[in-house]
Amino acid sequence: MNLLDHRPGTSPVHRAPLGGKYAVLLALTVVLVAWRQPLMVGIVLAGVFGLYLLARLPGEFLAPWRRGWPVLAFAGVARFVSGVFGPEPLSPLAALVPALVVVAAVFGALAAARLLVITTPGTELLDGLARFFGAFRRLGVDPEAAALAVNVMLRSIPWVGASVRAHAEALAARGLRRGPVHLMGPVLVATVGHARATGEALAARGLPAGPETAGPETAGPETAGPETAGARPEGPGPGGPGPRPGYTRGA
Amino acid sequence: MSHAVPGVQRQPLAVPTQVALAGVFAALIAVCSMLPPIPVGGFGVPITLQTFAVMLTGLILGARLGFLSVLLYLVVGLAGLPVFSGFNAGIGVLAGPSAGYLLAFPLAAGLAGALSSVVLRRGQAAAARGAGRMGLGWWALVWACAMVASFVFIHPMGIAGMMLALDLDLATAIGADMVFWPGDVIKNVLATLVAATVVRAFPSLALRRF
Repeated sequence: MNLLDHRPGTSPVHRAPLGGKYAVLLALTVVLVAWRQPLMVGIVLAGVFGLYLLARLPGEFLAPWRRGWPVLAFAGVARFVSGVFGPEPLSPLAALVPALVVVAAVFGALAAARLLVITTPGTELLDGLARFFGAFRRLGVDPEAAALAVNVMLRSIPWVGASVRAHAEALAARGLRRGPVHLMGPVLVATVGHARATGEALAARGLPAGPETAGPETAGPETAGPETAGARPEGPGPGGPGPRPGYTRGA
Repeated sequence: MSHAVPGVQRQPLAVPTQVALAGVFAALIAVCSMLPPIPVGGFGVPITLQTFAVMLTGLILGARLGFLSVLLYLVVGLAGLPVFSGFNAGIGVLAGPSAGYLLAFPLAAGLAGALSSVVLRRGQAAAARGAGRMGLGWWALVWACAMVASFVFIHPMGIAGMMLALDLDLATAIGADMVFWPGDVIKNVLATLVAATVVRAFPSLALRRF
């Protein structure tokens, strides 16, 4: 479970500013949803593949298919059923065309989004996110607190995963039925305890810094986020639901 | 480390605790989205624990913090971190069949939290007067809160999302959505049972004292 599979590189796609990447991705997604014509979807798909070529990662183009084929199959089957039994019934052969177009469009959007993820280092994504939160300062969003919450979330994913695993093993060791209630109840109690301990640890460190004292980019743990989150699952489990779910910041 | 005893000092929500709860519950939703789907029922329809975690977040954290926590999960996923089911990430999911569901999640958690806050407050008051613990009837009401949130936000927005993204007609979209109804009932029962366990361990959570 590697959270961020970043493929480093020096291509123009890798070096493009993050805001530009998001703008292009958003534009492609809007086009794919709004213009559901075979020609348009084909052009966008070719464009996305061109971007993969430009990033020198053509082998990654089909990854969304390998990972997400159930979603794509669901989309295709649903559109096919809608075409055959919908308000304007088509022959099964004719209904195949819009179904394939929908599958191609969903695939194109997923592939484009994935290209952004694999060509951008995780730290840059998180920095971009922090800047994004800053834009909502006027609406009462505390960018510091929001960025900190993102980091707490990313650090907690391996913890919660390890907790689920440990409790499942504990149930199995006692020969109990692995019902979801028996599993998730203790997991949630441990999770709430973990959240409280994390809150105490944050408070002890004076985090999040109040909006009046903090500069825009002073949230320290940002750089520690994705690496630790990605690196932890390989270990023996970060403490599991054990007695010390401490928040050791970047230690 | 955690105090099972409700906090003695009554203070408004401390910001660090809010941040920690929102972040950790967003992580819980992410983990539940990544867990392999469990086949349920005669059709073997696989359900993910994703909506279970969303509803649970609303029921445990209340309207405001529950909404913010699920919103955090959504924003992090849209930014490109692979926390959605199937390890998909980024704005691209908005062109997929799950777009409407994802966008409905924060609203549903907020509504479930708002309704259940009322129920839990009254239930705790009644329990304090009488038996000492909230009875089954109160928890049935909590389950009803989660169901209301499902059918006010998740299913209508999910249907609308499928109609837009997949170009479906209304009937097919409703049919595709109905596949999730049995799983939804089960997941909301599950969320209520787990919420009851958590409230037993941390009674102050029922009164939204974190």
